[in-house]
Amino acid sequence: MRVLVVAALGLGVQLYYWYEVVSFQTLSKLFAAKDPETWIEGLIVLCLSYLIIDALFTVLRGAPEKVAAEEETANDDAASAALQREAELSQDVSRLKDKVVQLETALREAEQRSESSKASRARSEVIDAELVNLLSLLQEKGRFIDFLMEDVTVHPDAQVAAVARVVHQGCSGLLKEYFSIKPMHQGNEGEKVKLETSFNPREYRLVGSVHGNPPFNGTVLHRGWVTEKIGLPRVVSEGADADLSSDGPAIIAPAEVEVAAS
Amino acid sequence: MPNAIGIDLGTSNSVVAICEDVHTVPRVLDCTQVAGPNSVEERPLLPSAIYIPHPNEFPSESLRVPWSDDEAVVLGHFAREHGTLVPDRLVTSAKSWLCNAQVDRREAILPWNSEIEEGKLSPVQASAKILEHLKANLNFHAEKLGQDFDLSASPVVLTVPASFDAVARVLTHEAAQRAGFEEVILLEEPQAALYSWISENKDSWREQLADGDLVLVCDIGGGTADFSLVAIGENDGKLDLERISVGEHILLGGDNMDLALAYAVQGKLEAAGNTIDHWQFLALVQMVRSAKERLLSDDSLDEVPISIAGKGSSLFASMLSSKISRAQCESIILDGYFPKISADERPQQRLSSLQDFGLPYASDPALTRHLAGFLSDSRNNVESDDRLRQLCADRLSRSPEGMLCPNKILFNGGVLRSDTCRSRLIDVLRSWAPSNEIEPLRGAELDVAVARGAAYYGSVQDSGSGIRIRSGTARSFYLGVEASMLAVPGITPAVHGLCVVPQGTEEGVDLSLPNKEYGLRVGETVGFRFFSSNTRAGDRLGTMVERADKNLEESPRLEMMIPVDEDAEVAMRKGDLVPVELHARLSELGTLDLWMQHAASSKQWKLEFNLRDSAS
Repeated sequence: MRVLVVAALGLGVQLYYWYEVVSFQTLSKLFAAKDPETWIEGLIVLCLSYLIIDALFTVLRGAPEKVAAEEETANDDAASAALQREAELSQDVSRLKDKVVQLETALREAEQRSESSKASRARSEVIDAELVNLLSLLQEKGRFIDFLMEDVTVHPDAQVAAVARVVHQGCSGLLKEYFSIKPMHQGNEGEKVKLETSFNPREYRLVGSVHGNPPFNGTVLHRGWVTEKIGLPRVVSEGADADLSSDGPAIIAPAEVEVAAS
Repeated sequence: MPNAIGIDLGTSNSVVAICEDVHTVPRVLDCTQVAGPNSVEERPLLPSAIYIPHPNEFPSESLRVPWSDDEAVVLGHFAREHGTLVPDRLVTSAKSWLCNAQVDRREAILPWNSEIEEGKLSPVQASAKILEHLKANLNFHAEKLGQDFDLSASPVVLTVPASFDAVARVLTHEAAQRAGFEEVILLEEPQAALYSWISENKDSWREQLADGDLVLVCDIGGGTADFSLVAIGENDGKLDLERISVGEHILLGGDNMDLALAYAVQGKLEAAGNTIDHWQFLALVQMVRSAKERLLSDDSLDEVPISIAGKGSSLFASMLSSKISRAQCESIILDGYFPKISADERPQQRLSSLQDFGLPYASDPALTRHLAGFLSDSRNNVESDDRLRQLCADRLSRSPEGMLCPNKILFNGGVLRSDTCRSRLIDVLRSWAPSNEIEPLRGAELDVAVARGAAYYGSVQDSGSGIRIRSGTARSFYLGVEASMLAVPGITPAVHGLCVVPQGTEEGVDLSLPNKEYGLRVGETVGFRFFSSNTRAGDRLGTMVERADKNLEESPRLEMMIPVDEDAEVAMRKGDLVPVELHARLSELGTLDLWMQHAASSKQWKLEFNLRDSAS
C-alpha cells in the first residue's frame, strides 16, 4: 500500500518537475518567436501540460484521504478493503495513464495540423510571390502599372493611344514569350453552336435563358482564350521569403536611382 | 547510338544542342538563367552577356542560378537587359575580344574602358564563364536527356567563326578547359550551319546539290558577319564537300542596323523640337528593333508607329511619338547594309588612323561590299592552286572577273530571318553573275542551326557514319625568315615567309621541313615571327613568300625555350647549341600545334604564342 502511495508521489514530483521545465521552455520559446504557428504550438503544449498536472493533482489529493479512512477500518476487514482500494487506486492510475495517452494523441494531432498549415502557408506565399512577379514583368516590359495608376480621363485620345502602344508592345511581347494563347472556341464569334451533353462547363459559360437539359443551342458571344503553355520565370524560394514576408509590402518595381558619375 | 553535345558560343547568344540519335535533328536544350532578382527562367538562347553586380546593388542571394552560390557574375537575359542601364558593369561580345590581337587576351580588361574597381574579366575568363554556365546547365538538366545519355562520355563540339585565327582557336580551347570541358572539338560555324542543313534534309540533300556546285554559307548575326565557300565535288560516285575559302572576321550585324534606325528616328524627333535623353534612346532602340522585324517580314505594312516613354512613372509626361515608314526602313537597312553594288566594288577602309582602341568594328557598313571582297579573295585563293581551280572550273567560268560566285546559298543568323534581306542578297549575287542561277538552300531556325549542326557533327564523327566536309586548316601559316643582306644603317632587313603549314592541311598530319635544322641555345628564349594567309591555297610546305610583312598577315610571335636539364639522356647544359627541326600539326581538336623536335632524341619543345608583347 505504502509503496504504491510513495510511487504515486514520486511520479507526481517527476511530472511537476517536467511541467516546470516544459512550461519554462515553452514560455521562453513563446516570447522569442514571432510567427503565429509557434505561438499556437506553444499554447497547445502549455495547455496540455496544465491538464496533465491538474489531473495528477486530483488523483494525488484523493489518495491520502483514502489512506486515512483505510487505517480506521483496518482491523475489520483489512485484507479485503486493502485489496479493494488497491484495485481502486490502480484504476485511478490506469485512468490517468489513459488520459495521458489521450492528451499525447491530441498533442500529436495538433502538431500535425500546424505542420500542414505551415506547408499551405508556404504554398500560398509562393503563389503570392508569383503573382507579384507577373505584375513586375508587366510593369517592366509594358509599363502596365504606370499606365493603370494614371488618370487617363485628363489626356486627349491621341496621347492615350500613343501610350497604349508602349503598353501594348511590351505586354503583348510578354504574353507571346511566356504563354501560348489561342482562342478557346475554334470557330468565329456570332456563329451558332450546339453544346453536347458532354460539354465541359469550364470551357463554355452559358448566359441568357439557361434551362432544360443539354445539348444547348446558342450563339458564340466571345471565343474565350486558352493558353497551352505557361513559362513565366520562377520565383526562387529563398528570395520569396526575404522579399515577401507576410506582414511586409510586396515590391512590384523598385524605385530607380541614377547614380551620378563621381 | 552515339550521343553528342554541340555548343554555339556566340557573340550575342549562346546555344546548346544535343544529338541523341544521328537519324533525328538534334534538339536545343533550354538554358536556365537569372530572369531578375529572385527569379530564374529557361530560354533556348543564353545571351552571351555577363553582368558584374556591385556588392550593394541587389539583395544578397537574389541573383543565384539553382546550381551555384556564386554571385560574382550574372549571365544571360537579365545580365543583358540590366547591363544596358549600367554599361560599366556589362561584358558583351567577349568572343570578339578573344580574336582581337591588339589586347592581351589573358588580362582582365573587360568591361572595356570600365571604371569598376574589381571583378574585371579577361576575354578568356569571360568566355570560360559562359561555357561554365552552359556546362552546369547540362548537368542540371541531365534528367531531361535520354536515358543512356552519358554527359561525361559524349563528345563536345564547340563552334568558332571560320575567321578565327590560330591564336583565337587556342584561346577558345583554353576557355573550354577552364570551364571544365576536358576535351572539345572545334568546328567552324559556317560548316556547322551546313551540317545542320544536312541533318534536316537527310533524305533529300543529295538531290539538292550536284557536282560542280558552290555553296556560299552566309551568316549574319547580331554582331558579326561570317562567310565561307563550300565546293561540291564527286568522288567514287559520291558527293564530296570541301570548304575552300573563309572570310575575314567582320564586326557588323543586326545590332548596327537597329542603331542606324534608332538614330534616324531620333533625328526626326529632334528636328520636331524634342530632346531625347539616354534612357529614352535605349527604349527607342527596343522599339525600332521590333518595328524593323515587322516591316521586313510583313509586306502589307506601310509604316509602324513608334512611341517612346521616359524613365519616370508618368507615361504621359514624357511620351514621344513617331513612326518608321517602309521606305525609310528599306532605305536604311537595304540601301545602307545591303546596297546594290557592282562586282568590282570593295569595302572602304577607314581613312583616319586615329581610332578608338576598342573592338575593330567594320568601317564600311555595306555587307554586300564585304561579300564582294570575300568572293574576290576566294578567287585569288582558288586560282593559286591547280586542284581547287579544277574543282571550281565551272563556277569560275560563270563568275565575273576577279570574283568567284556561288550558285547555292545557305543563310544563317538572326538578320537573315527576314525575307527582304535574303532576297536582296540573292538579287545582288544574281546581278554579279547572271548566268549562275543562284538558289537558296532551305534551312530552318537560323538562331539555333549552328549548335544543332555541331551536335550532329559530333555524333557523325563519333560513329564514323555520314558525310564529312573536307576542311583542314582554313589558312596557310608561315615562319618569318630574315633575308640575308648586308647591314645598312636605318634599314631593317626584309622578312620573308617560309610556309610551314599549307592551307587545307588535314588534322593529324605531322609536317616537318625536310633538311631544315635550326641550332637553338639551351636556356635562352627564342622568338619567331609568324604569319598567315587565307588567299594562298597554292603554297606548299617550304614555299618562300617574299616580303611577308606586305603579303601576309602577321600573328603574335611564337616563342619557346629549351630548359636546362643536365640529367637527361642527352644532357642540356646552359648555352649548349641543340640541333632541332620544326614540326607542325593540326590537332584533332582543331588547334594548331607547333614544336621543335630534337634531332638526336625523342625530345620536343612546344612553341607558344606570345600574347603579351603582341598587344602593343
